[in-house]
Order: sequence, then C-alpha cells, then structure tokens
Amino acid sequence: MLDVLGYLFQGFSTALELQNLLFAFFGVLLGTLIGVLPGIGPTSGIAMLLPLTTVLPPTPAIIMLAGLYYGAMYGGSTTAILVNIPGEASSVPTSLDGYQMARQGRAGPALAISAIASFVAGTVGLIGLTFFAPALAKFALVFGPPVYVGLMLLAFSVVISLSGKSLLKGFVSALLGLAIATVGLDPMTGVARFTFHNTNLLAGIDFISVIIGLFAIAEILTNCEQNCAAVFPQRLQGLMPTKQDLKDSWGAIMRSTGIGFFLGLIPGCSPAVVSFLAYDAEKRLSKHPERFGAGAIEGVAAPEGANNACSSGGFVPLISLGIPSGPALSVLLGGFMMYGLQPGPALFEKNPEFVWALIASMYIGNVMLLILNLPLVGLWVNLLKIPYPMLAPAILVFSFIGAYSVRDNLFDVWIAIGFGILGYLMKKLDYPITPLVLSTILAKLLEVSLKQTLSMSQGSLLILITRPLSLGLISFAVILTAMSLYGRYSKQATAQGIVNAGTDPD
Amino acid sequence: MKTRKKIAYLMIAMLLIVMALISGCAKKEAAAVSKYPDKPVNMIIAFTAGGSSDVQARIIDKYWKQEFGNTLVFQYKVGAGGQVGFTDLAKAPADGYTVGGVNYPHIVLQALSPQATFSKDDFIAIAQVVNDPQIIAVRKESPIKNLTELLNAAKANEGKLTMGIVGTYSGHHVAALKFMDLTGTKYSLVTFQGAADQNIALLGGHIDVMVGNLNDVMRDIDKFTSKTNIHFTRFHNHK
Repeated sequence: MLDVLGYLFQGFSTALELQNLLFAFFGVLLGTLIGVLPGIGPTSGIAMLLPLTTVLPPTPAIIMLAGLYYGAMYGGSTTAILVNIPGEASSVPTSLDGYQMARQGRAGPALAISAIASFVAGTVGLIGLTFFAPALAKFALVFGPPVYVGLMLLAFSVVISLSGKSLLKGFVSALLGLAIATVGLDPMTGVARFTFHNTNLLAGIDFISVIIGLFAIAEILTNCEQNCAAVFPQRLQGLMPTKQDLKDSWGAIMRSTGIGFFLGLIPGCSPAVVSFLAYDAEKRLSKHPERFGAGAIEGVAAPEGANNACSSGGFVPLISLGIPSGPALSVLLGGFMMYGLQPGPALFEKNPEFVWALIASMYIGNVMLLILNLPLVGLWVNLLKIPYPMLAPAILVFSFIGAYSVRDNLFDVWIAIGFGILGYLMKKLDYPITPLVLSTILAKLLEVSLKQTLSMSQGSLLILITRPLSLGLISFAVILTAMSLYGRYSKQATAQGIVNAGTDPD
Repeated sequence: MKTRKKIAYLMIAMLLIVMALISGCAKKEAAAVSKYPDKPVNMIIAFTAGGSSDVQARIIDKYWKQEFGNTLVFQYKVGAGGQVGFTDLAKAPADGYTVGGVNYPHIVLQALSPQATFSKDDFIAIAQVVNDPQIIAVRKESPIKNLTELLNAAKANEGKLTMGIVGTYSGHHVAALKFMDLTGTKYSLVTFQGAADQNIALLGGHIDVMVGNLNDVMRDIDKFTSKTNIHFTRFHNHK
C-alpha cells in the first residue's frame, strides 16, 4: 500500500510538469466539447487526435487522449439537461430528469450536480484503479459470454421502469429497437439482414444516428409545432444546488459510483449501459419513485456518477491487461501501441513512471473538469434564453455534423432524419422513446453473447444456469422484473400514482 | 445610416460571390509533367482507428513521408468486417490517389460471399507490408501442453472442446476448418468480434483453445502457450 502511494507521489511530480498539465487541460477541454456535441464522441475525438502521437512524446500525448475520454463523460450531460439532446449515449438517462429540471427553472442545480457527481465518481473510481488494479483485472476475466447474457437481460429489465404509462407501448418501443439493431450483417455468420442490397446498410444502423434523430431532431419538430418558446425564459433563481439537493444526491452518487466502477471493469460494458442501470437502481431504491422522470435530482446524479466511475473503471483492464472495454479505449490502446508501449503487467514494470504519471494526471484532470464545469454552468444556462427559432437551426447543424462524423457517411444523416420523423410520431402517439434507445444499445452485445454461449455449450441453454455467476445475474434480472411489475400493478401503486409517473418528457 | 449599411453589406456579398466564382473555375491545364504524388494521397482504412490496421497504416505513413514528402490522408470507413472500406476502395477512381490497406484472406473470402460488393480483381497489390501468421494457442495454465495432447483431447471429447475464432468466413475460420480436416478432429467454434474479446475469453477459461494472429497474442506472450503455426496455405508443426 505504501509503495503504491510512493509511486503515485512520483507520478504526481511528473503530471504536474507544465507540459503535462497543459496537455491534460487541452485534453479535458476538448473532451468536454466533444461530449457536448451530439454524435462526435470520444472515439472519433481520440481517433482525430491520434496523428499527434507522431510528434509528441508519449506521456503528454496519452495524458491528453485519456483526458479526452473521461472529459467527454462530463460534457454529454450539458445538452441533455438543457435541450433534451444527449451528447453521448451515456447521457440519455440524464436527459430524462435533467431536462425536466431545466423546464422547472432548475437547470443550474442540475448541471452543477452532474459535474459534482462526475467528479466524485471519477475520483473514487481512480482510487480503486490506483490501489486495486491488478486484483480487479483478474476479476474482469471472470466474465465470459454466459455472464454477459445475464448482464444484458438485467439491463433489459430496466425497460419496464422506462415505459411510463403504458407497459405495452414500452415493449413495442423496445422491440422496435431490437428490430432496428438487426439491420446489417449478422455479427456471427455474416449474413446480410434487412440490407436491401444497400452497401450503407451493410454496416448496420449506428445508434448515434438513432439517438440524434430521436432526441435532437424529434425534439425540434415537436417544439416547433407548439410555440417555439425558449426552454425557460424567465429569470433563473439559483445556479447552484441547495443543501437539500446535495443531501438528496449524496446517496445516489455513492451508489452509482459503486455500480459504475464495478461494471466498468467488465470489458464490453459501456458507460451507456451502466448509466441506465444506475438510474434504474436509484429509482427502485427511492422512497418516492414517482418523482423520477419529473425532475428528481437523483435522476441526474446517478447516471452521471455511473458513467464517470465506469470510465475510470474501464482503465483497469486497459492498463493492467491491455484489454479495452469499449471502442474509445480501443483507439486509446492504439495510441499506446504507436509508442510501442504494451499495456499490461509488463508496463508497470518497464515504464512505471509513465503509468503512474498517467494515473496521477487523471486525478488532476478530474479536478480541472470540476473547475471548468462549475463556473460554466452560468454560461450554459444562458443558452436557455436564446429564442428557439435561433437555437433550433444551430442544433440541427450540429446534429447533422455529428451524424455524419460517425462513419464519414451522408447516409447516416438521412438515417438520423428518418429517426427524427419516427421520434416525432412516437411522441405524438405517446410511445416512450427511451426503451427503443436502450434496446438498440444492448441488442448487439446480447445477440453476440447469446450465440457465443450457445456455441460454447453446443446449443444447450442449460449453460446459463450451470454457471454460477450467470445464474446469479439471470435470477437477479427475474427478481427485479417481478418487482417492477408488482410495483406497477399492485393496488397500492395505483393509488400512489406510480403507474402514471411518466418517464418521458412530453 | 441604414442605407449605407445596406450598401456595404451588398458590396461584401457581391465580393464574396465573385471570389467564389473565381475559385470555382478549375484550372484545366493538362497534367504537365507533375511528379506523383503532387497532392496528398488518400488511404482508406477499413477497420477502426487504433486497431492493428491503423497502427500499420501509420507506420507506412512514416515511410511514405520520408519517400514522397507529403502525407497520407487517412479515411476510416469502418464496418462489416472491412467490407465497407474495401468496397469504397474498389469503387474509388483509379487515378493513383486512393490507396488502402487490404487484408488477406478477407479480401478474397468476402469477394466470394453472396453479398459481395467487389471482386478480388478490383484491386492491384502494390506491396506486402505485413506478414502475420496464425497460431493455435492455449493459456499457460491449460492441461494441454503440445499439439499431440490437443489432438488427443479433441478426440476424447468429440466436438466439445471450444475453439475461438474471430469472425466467420475469416482467415481464422478457414484455418480452423482446415485444421479440423487435416487432423480429423472436431471442435465447437465460438466466434468473437475481435481479437481482444477472444483473448479475454481464452485467458478467462471460457474457451479451451483459439486460433489467433501472432500480432494479437504477442502482447501477453507469457500468458499463452502457442503451439502450431498455421500459415495460410502451409501447415507446419512446431512443438
């Protein structure tokens, strides 16, 4: 323990050098901006900056790229709260309550709590990374395909709580999401599904385009139909959260940190999945679940904490085993490889100064982000005062750029527009959108894991029950589903109006 | 005041239009003896940034810069196991300004599939830059220590040993099938989306053996025991 502290201290002395500080700042700043813009995510951001690795020494370059990754988790919530357009998939649950808070004039506290939750969760996650990395890395290996199936089923059970008034409509929305996810090449056999001989569809429908369409474009269409008013034109009362807010959020932040960090250790578990699970967990544990979806501050703190803890957790398998947990980290791994640095136990032995400087700079980066984001709350909040007819076209421009940037393909922009229209129709017909988004995110991993599991067991589903961890997760999913259903339909619930608690802002 | 402002804006607008028109006029000089390449060359990369293809491309870029002076412009066209990028490359104008990294045997196998969008004759190979043999590997703690034991174990558990591959109709898949043919043994093939997932599954004990590329395995070479070197058409035995 003490020698770890010693290394960390050395790491800080390197990380606090001016060059490294500057690059850390540049990375987190860029990350925040990238998080704010819908469509352009940390994956594309890191990919765009990778060429800089040819001219920079390794430490500042990787510090910058890592800063970009966790910075994006801070930025995604900004537009989610202000204009109901999540900048990242991991900010989708944030928009559920955050936007409602903005409409009640509480955008300032929402943004501030999101920054605070992100900071606390990110830092605590880093502490876990610092002290427990090698042991935790072994934990990551335990997760095989059957366990992923259990995890995905658990995540799907969240659909029930996202369904709002009509469970049937929620299911339809979720199934629609699954159907959309099947378009493209079958991940296992390579058979083209629903591609209509179109090369663009061969690569499938990217969920970023779906999110941009369903949230950004549909929101603009719906707003313009009504009165095109700014989100909250009156004078805002408080920009900072009240003591009560902090008290309410505290539990949420702690729990979501735990959920986010441990799930972030699992390769393949993206911050998006984790933020949904944390939101749902918070809702279940709350004494007043009907407040969720109507502006509960825990509903902002939980997903934001979870996605930052997950990003810290994601560094554990990356640095200890060289295994990236997601596409953005894979690109970062590529950055390591450019320098001939092999992440893994060897890295701790051969280049300890580099590793500890990186870890130390992540602590510094989180502090920088907190300092960056809190004062900016006042600035962002002014966005709400812009007349909507001027804000909406700007949002559209950024949305189109974002949709295009995913794969450098104009086709994705058309997909986003198409989903915008679909989202508009869904809002009119009162179908919840969030289950669709959740299914699209989860579908591929569920399908791949299920098929791998069946290959492993030569076609027998029993393997899901014979593996203890998988059995545990599936049982947990079944129990949670049963509890959610009970909560919806019991007489008590109807009396308390839980059933009518919509989670979709209309 | 207002009228003057209007006129000012109008003049600026006119100026901008004129400038746009002038710059739009392409210079139609015949390609006077221009040294190739006289502008940056596009390089299509069919896989995600940060992956092996990307790393290799950047190494190529380093030498390209030394040789030709200007850089390669990377374009990532990701999807369908490389098919999206390969298709783009096949359809690009043949003016020498679009090159791409293609992988064997993907480029041949994908061209043969029912949803092929290109044929292997759409490409001309310029240089082989990477030679990455496939290997069969088990994790270090595995009870299987050499090829003979692997074959014995496979025969004893008819078809139950799980073997990991990356992608269907990929080099791994073909190699695994050929291995099964040549040795007369059967395995359950478990397909993974990428080498990273495959490595984790092997190290975690979820699959028994895997067909991998040397490039992906060598990172943690002490965790694996690699046994056989399967080259694309040859088959060596290394114990």
